[in-house]
Amino acid sequence: MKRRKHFGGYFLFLVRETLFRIKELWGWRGIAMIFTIAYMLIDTFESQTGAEIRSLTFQGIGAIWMILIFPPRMGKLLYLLPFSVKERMRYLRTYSVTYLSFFVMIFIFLGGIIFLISGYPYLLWVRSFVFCTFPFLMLYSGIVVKNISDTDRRQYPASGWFFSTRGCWQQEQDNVSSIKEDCRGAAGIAAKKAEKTEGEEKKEREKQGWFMAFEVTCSIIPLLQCCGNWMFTGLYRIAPWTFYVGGVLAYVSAIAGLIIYWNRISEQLKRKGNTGKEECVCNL
Amino acid sequence: MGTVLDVRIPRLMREGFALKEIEFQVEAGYLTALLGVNGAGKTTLLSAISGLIPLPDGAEVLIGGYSFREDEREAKECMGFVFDDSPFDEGMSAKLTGEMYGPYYRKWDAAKFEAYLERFEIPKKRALRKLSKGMKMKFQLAFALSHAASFLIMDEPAASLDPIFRDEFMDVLSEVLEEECCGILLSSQLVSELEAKADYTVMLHQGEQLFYDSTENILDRYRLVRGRYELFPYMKSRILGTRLSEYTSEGLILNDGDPVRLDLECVRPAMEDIMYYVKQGVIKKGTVKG
Repeated sequence: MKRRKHFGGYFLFLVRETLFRIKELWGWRGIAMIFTIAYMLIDTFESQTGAEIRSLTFQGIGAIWMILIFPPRMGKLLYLLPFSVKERMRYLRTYSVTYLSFFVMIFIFLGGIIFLISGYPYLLWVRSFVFCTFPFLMLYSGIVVKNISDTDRRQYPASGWFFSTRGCWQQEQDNVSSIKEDCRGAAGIAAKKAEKTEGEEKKEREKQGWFMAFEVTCSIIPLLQCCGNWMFTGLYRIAPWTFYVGGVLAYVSAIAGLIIYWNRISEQLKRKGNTGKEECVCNL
Repeated sequence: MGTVLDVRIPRLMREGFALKEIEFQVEAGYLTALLGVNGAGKTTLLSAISGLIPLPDGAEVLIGGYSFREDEREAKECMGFVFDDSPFDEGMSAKLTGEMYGPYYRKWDAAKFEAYLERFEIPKKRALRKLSKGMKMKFQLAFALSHAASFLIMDEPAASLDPIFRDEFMDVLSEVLEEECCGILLSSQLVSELEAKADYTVMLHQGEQLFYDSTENILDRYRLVRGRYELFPYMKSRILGTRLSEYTSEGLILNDGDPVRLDLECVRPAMEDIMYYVKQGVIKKGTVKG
């Protein structure tokens, strides 16, 4: 009984948040949303003529729209509201899950409408959704988590919608530069420390480079899927396989990306947690 | 009445920029101005106080008596914020923002929030991005006051407001100080306007706290002498720094009670003058009491 109440609480929270998000849609984002839905519906009618692959296109385009019209919005507010470190982590988790659930709900709902209108096999649609669109949403959830944990935007403008690890990297750099600064006066140790920090910086840069490459790959795969749709329009037999293989790849890479994001952010938050247990950076 | 903010930051590094030996308090019911030229470290200090950047070991920020390290939640309950670029989601309306983020505060008073929105004439259902800059500032102020913040932190709140709105905003602040009895720490470049309103002033220069004292005391500490430059050498030992232009000559001296030549005009400096001499390096930390 108690458990059901707990679950109900979560459900109500999701519904409430969803309503807020829908309310947020008014304005240019609302218009974009209307265009997206219109495109999806038109495309569905066209798909009745037998172009199964085209019905996947709208999901890709729809997902891109979704990404563009929902820029992450918490920013430094997350650090200004009265949260303890634990609460902040919890909020971050809830917020990202809410976003993800919201998108999934919207897509499933639209799929239902499309199914009703066109008589398109709903299960097939759901399957293609899981393979082709859900990775988008997972990826986007990662971006949201990263961006809302990106503090002090004024000094370090966050990437906004797209990938950048500047926020995390900047934090690393701060530590390094402060070590540098603090060691400036200590003649004997200075050279050693500088050497060490240079090494650390280089290592960090390399790490960031790989991470960026990975991020770009993650984001390109679903886009390629959409492009591939047009490229292989005439090759109906091959095209679905490219979609599914691409979808699985995107799915796996998105999960991996999300895990990496999550670890990095946890690390960053712990460092910024003002618990007094974070690494000392100033009294070397 | 009491201390609502107690800051002690011996050293804080940020991107090669260091804040050094910062120590001051903000009392309830008083407006404390945080002044300094561009790059003095005002925003870095405010970021550290508001928890946007981590405090190094040895630094301590107490808000409403709560330590940021040990009781971050309680400390933030006591803190309200008004920033030049609003941290709130611009796509949401004022009312929705209150509904969404207000309940995170234990002392959130929705009725009070509504009352403030009406008092400040903020449209409740219009998206924040459609509000004027001044309205956005007032909205942030309304939000901060509705959760009974005892300390308000403001970073350049009046920077991009026109003079009329700025006056109005400052009047609102004065009213708030009287009614709510909270302490305000306000950073701004608009020195002349703050001079009249601020009870205390913290002056930063190159990351260092030059002085923290009542605004009156700071202004009383110095005198400006104006007159013909040829007369200045007679006061060479007393003049800390000079500002010369085509038509006037001006020098800064300590107000130590000693008489000044009658043919020189002796006036109380404005805070802008003090800032000018701070920038010139005439006023240094070691030379200032308080």
